[in-house]
Amino acid sequence: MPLNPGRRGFTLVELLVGLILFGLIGGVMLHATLAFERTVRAHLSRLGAENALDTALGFLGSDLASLGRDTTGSDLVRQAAESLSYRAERGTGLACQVTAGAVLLEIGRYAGARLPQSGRDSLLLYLGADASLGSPGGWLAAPIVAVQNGACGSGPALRLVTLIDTTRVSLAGLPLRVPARVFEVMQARFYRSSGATWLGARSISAGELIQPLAGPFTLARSGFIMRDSAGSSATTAAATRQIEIGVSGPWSGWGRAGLAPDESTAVTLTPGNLHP
Amino acid sequence: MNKRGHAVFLALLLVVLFGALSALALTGARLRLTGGRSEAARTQAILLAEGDVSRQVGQWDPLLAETLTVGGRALLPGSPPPSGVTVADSLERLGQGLYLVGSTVEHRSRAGTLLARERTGQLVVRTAPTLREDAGIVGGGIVSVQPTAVADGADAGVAGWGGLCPPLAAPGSSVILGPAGLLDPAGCAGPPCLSGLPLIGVDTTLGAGWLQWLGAVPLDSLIARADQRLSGRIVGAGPTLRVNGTCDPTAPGNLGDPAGPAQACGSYLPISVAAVGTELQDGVGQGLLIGQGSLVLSGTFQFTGDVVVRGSLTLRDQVRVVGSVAVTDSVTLAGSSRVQRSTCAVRRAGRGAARPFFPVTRKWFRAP
Repeated sequence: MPLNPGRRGFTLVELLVGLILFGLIGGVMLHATLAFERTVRAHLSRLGAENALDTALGFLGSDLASLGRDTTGSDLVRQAAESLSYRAERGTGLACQVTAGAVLLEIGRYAGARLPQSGRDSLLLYLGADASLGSPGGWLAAPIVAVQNGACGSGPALRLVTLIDTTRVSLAGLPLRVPARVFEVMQARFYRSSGATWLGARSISAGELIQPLAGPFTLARSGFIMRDSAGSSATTAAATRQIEIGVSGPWSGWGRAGLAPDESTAVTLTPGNLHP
Repeated sequence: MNKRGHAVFLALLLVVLFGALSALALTGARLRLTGGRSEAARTQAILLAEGDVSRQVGQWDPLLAETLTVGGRALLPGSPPPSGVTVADSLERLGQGLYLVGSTVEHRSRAGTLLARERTGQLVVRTAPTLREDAGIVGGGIVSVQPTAVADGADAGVAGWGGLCPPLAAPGSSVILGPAGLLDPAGCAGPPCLSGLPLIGVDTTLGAGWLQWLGAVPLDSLIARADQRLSGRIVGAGPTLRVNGTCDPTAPGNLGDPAGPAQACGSYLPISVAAVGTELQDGVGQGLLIGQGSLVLSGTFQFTGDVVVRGSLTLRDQVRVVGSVAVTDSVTLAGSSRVQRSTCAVRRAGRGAARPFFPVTRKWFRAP
C-alpha cells in the first residue's frame, strides 16, 4: 500500500497509545517473568535443600544403622534433641588371634569403608560365646593404639596393637575366629553458624571440628527424637530402639522468610542391632 | 532465493538444537533411571539377604551344626530367588558354640551387569540346656523300682562312642528325691536293684516347677524347637536313612542311632517331644526325650541320653535308659527295665539339644 506523501511519521496520540500499550504488555510480561523466576528459584532451592538433606541422611543413615547395644550398654554415648554422640561402625571382621596386647584381624575377612586407624578407632570384640568373662559379658571395647602388618596362618592380617585388661577379662577358650567391630566416636549436631542452623557431624575420637552436612534449618522444629520399642519417646540410651531425624526450614527462599511457610520432613531409622 | 536458503539453514539448526536438547534430556532421564534401578536392586538385595539369614537361623539344622568342624563353612540351601538374583547362604562355625549364618545376594540386569551385591550375617550362639548327671533318676514324686528292675548311679560309658566319652565320674545316687519325693516302700529299697553312692539322695531345692528351666534354657523353648514330635503308640523307632545312605532327620520316628557316631544317624541327637499318653515300644533312640505328660517306654526300647518328663514315667519289660531320667511326678521301673547313669550320654544329649535359643547382642554382622 503506498504511503500518503503528506503524512510522514506518527502523531503524538498514536505514539502515546503505542507507549501505553507497550508499557501495559511489558508490565504484565515483567510480572509474569518475575513470578516464574521466583517459582523456579523456590523449586531449585527446595530441590537443592532436599538433595543436601538426602546426602546428610545418607551419611547419618549408614552411620546410625550400625548402632547396637549389649549387656554393657548402648552405642549411643549421649543423646539429646539437638545432638547425638555415638559409636559409628567403620568395619567388621574376624580376628584369628586375641591377646592382651594385640588383635590379629584377617584382611580377607574385613568389610568396611576404610581400614582401622590408630588413635582414632577402637575395637569391639565378641568374647561372650566361649570365654568365661568375669565381667562384663558379650562385647569388649578396647582402643587401637597402633596398626601394623601381621599374618593369620598364611594369610595377611592387620595387627592391631591394643590394651586388654586381662585381670578383668579372661581370654582363655576364645572361639577360633573372634568377631570384631572397628568404631570411632562421632557426633551429629544441629548448630548455629552465620545466622542459620545447620546439621553437621564430626569425629570426637579424632578431635575434629564440626562439618556441615545440610541446612539451613529452623532449629525450633529440627532435631533428634529417640523412640523406645513401643514408639514412645525414649529418655535413656538403653531404652532407645529407633531414631527419628526431623528437619524443618525456609527452603523456598534460602533463608528469605515470608516467601513460603517452612516445610518439615522426618526420617525414622531402625538399627537392627539396637533390638534384642 | 537467498532468504529461502537462510530459512532452510535456520530450520536445520533448530532441528539439530531440538535433537541435542532431547538427547540431553533422555540421557539425564536414563541416568536417573539407572541410578534408581541400582538403588532399588541394592534395597532388594539387602532385604533378601536379611530375610534369608533370619530364615536360616529359624530353620536351624542341629545335625549340620553339630558335625561342622570348628573353623569350617558349609553352604546352605537358599530360598528360590527372583529372576536375575543369585543367593548364596552359608553357615560358618567360628567357635565351639559360636556360628555365623551369612547370605550373599547378587542382583544382575538382563544383560548380566552387576547391579548390587550385598552380604549380611547373623552371629548365633548355641545354648545348651543343663541336664542333671548326678543320679540315675531324679524324681519329684513317688519313685517305684520293682525288685527285678535296676537303677544304677555308677557312671558308665556308652558302647561304640569311643573317644567321645570323658573319664568316668565318681559314683552318684541311684535316685535323688525332691522335697515331695518318696521311694515306694513296696518296691526295691537297696542293692542289687538300687546301687549308688549315696544310694538315695535328697535335693530340697527341687521346688514346684523345677523342670521349667534346664539351666539357662526354658523347657518350653526346647519343646518349641522339637525335632521329633511323638504321640500315640510308636513301635520300633530308630534311625531312618535316605536312599543315598545319609541320615534323614525329617523322617518321623527317627530318634537317632546310639550305636555310635560312625553310623549315618550317629550324630543326630534330636530333641524328641512325646505328647501325653505316648508309648514307645521297641526300637532305639538318643538325645533328649521330653514327655509332656504320662510317658511309657516298653518292650526292648533302648534310649541313650536324657529323659525329662513333666508328668509320670513308666519303664516296662526290657527297656534300657543309659544317661539320666528326671521326672516331676511318679517314676515306675517295672519288669527287667534298667536306668544306667552315664555322664557321657547326658553331656552329649545336652550338646545335641543346643540351639540358637538366645541370639547374640549386636547379632547382625557383615563379614565377607
